[in-house]
Amino acid sequence: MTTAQSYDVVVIGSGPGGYIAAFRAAENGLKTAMVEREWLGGVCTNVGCIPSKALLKNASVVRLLRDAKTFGIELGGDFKADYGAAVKRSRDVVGRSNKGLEFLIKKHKVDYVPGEAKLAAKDTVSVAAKDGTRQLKTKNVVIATGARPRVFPGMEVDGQAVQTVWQLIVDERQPQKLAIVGGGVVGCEMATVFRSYGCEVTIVEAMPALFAGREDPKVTQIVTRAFEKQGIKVLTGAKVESAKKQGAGARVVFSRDGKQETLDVDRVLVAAAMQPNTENLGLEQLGVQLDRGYVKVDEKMATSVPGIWAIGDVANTPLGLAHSASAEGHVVADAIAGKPVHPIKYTQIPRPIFCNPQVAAIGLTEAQAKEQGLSAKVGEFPFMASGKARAEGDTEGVVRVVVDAKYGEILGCHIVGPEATEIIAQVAPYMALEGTSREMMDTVVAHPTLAEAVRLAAQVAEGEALEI
Amino acid sequence: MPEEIVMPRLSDTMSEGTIARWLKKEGDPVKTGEALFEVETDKATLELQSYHDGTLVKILRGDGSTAPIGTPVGILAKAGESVDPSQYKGGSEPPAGRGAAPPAPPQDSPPSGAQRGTASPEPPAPSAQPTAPVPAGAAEDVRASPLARLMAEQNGVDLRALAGKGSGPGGRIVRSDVEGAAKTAPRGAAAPAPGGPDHEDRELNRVRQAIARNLALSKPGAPHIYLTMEIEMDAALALYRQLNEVVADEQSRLTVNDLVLKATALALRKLPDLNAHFLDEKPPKLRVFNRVNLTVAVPGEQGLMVPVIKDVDKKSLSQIAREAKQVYGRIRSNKPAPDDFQGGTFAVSNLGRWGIDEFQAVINPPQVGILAIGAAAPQPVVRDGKVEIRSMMRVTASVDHRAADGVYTADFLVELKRLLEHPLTLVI
Repeated sequence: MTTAQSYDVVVIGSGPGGYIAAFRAAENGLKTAMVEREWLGGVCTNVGCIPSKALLKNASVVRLLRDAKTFGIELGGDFKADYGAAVKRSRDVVGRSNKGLEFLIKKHKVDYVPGEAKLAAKDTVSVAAKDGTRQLKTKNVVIATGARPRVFPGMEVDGQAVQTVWQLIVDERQPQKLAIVGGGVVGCEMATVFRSYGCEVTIVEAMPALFAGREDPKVTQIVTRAFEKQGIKVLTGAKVESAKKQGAGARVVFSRDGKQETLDVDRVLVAAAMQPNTENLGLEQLGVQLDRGYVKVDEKMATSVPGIWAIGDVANTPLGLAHSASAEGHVVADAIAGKPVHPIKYTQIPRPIFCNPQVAAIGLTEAQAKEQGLSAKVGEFPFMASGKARAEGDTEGVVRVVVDAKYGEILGCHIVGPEATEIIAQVAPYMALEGTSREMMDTVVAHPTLAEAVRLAAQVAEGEALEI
Repeated sequence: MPEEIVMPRLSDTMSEGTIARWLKKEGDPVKTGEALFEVETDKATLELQSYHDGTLVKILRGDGSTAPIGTPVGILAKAGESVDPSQYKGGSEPPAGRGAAPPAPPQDSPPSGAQRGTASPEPPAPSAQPTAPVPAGAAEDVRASPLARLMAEQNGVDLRALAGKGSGPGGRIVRSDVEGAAKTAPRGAAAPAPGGPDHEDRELNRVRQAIARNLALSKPGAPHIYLTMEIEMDAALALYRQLNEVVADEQSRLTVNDLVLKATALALRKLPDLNAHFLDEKPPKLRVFNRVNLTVAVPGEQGLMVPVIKDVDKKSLSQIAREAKQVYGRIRSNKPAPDDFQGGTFAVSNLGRWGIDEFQAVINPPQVGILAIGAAAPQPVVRDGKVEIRSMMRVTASVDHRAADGVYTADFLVELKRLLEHPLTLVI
């Protein structure tokens, strides 16, 4: 054991919540350490956001090539799409992201401490690494330990035939028949990857709709139909009883409409839910309160114990997204530094889903607005009516803008279709700056772009549409 | 935060005011309710009172200068605040001396007399003429979100009062600030100006448009129609006496006019097209108000004054009585509150006290109606075939025929009569 070092802030976890918290704390003049037990950059950089986007890019290239004839390009017979090469490319992308982070850690003068952290006391983090245990004395601890795929009883994850996304995403073997347990964000994105590579894909979802029925019903319906058209089987209302290795492959047993069914595949992805990493941190001993398994925090990300803070997937905040974790990292670093903090408005954070067609949403759906007693109106613009979408040959989808009937406040926006995850970016500032449908309609958007569809949807909401 | 003293909007027709003279000097202590300066409006010269205790640290517009409403004319540091007057740009214009304030030269004529090198006093620089009256609360120079602006406008919240104190970045006013202000605003203070919220603009239908066009040929301006009705006031007078026997304080003592005001307001709720402004635009519109703010004709020192009593339909008789007394008091002492002249939706003129039996009043545009009230006097009337003595009051409605017809106006008078002849309807 070496002598204890003394910090203002020790951040446990180096994901997009943790590293932003650490960098911002350091920029705020606080002496900061960041502890990481497994992957620098966390799930996002290593087995989440970034590698999955690399795989999805490969998948879109495969689809484009398959569709080459539409553009008058003859490839002269079938082409070979090497899935293993796609995984290698995605790992390369991850490697470069890791390098970038290492640079940033040095740049911000954050002490990077690899190892498994545990709170020995309120002011002491002990870090167990291969080369021994170190004690870090600190005034503040930020728990940014994230979450992991949740495995329900009956699902026997062996890492080969039955995998979580963390295992699947680094596996260079291409499955021929894939069952995906859970039609959420991870399930739908992976369905797109593997269907694009020609796998038989079946999504088994317990809820009555994809995305657990949380997104706009029309958007969800369009995705479901598109999936089915692409050959992705979507079984909703199907409760998985077991998923386990069977011979060279795996078998999923589920019940639907009171009947038991089986599905034999060569791979199963278990992507039903996530669970927070709160174990073995010493939180119980210090009396840190939990809320349904997540660390309970206030608007400043403070836990029930002064000096201990929590952010990201481990905290009981509404969204489990990389960028909401980063926003929380920013808030916590400012709160620790005693700077004024603006509480995060979670309804103003976009929720992207990178399946094909892409989905992106922000704020309330029409139904949620009505639940809150708001009188909302919806303007819908189909990409079919967008010149750019037609030129791109990608006209599936709609933009739905939810507008408060009284003041025209932008309550939400729901997009399914080409570049939805990019287009949604223009809506967040209107909400953050409290622009109304008036400003949205008065702001000119370049033509021809897919982004025009948002403004046109606002015009539809206000009954001022000219182009549809 | 030091308070900006702004040119108040003292009447619906006022778009700018001239500072006749400052009654306080820079550095003078000021108490709430003390007069700061005299304003010459298109109607009268009025004193503007301070709403805070503090010190007048800076005069931005000197004696004789004209400023559009809403323009800061001075800076008041509240008690305990220290302010560096030099941080305020513009500076006071040279005082032109009491009574010697030369009018600003018309913009399109060259300044006369004030040649360089002569000893003649320099006329105050012509202030920028606003192209349109600044609507109260628009406050373009205040940092606020579009949503906050819209909510402020529709809820009668003056954004200038929140300037720099918003909870957004850099003090930007956001939704929650306006919501907070709307909740805590004192009654009346949030009174929306006409042209602001709480109304529905309705284009005239084709028939009304034709009526408006044709009638303007024989009676230009607002073509008046006059309808007179006799109302039996015995029950109302009995109630008024009864109520006055039990009033809590002198301030709440009713006058007959208070009953008339309340009845008028309730009748307007039923016949709302008279509670409106006629907007002579293309196409012409009728702005029908949701609030009933009655303009009452009051004799002032220099002539007729028309203060406004707000939300008369929603107030109790004693509240109307108290507010009317306060308003009349402020007018008589020449110290009206800035919003005393704002937001009138219909007018009532009562010459009953002077024994006038009946008269016809002139509409105060852009309002579309005014009610002229005569004296309630004992008259022989026929009841069940017999002659009886009853207190009869003659009321005459003058209505802009472009906005409403005789039948609609008659319906209004019938409702007014019903209310006053069954006066308990005014208390329940």
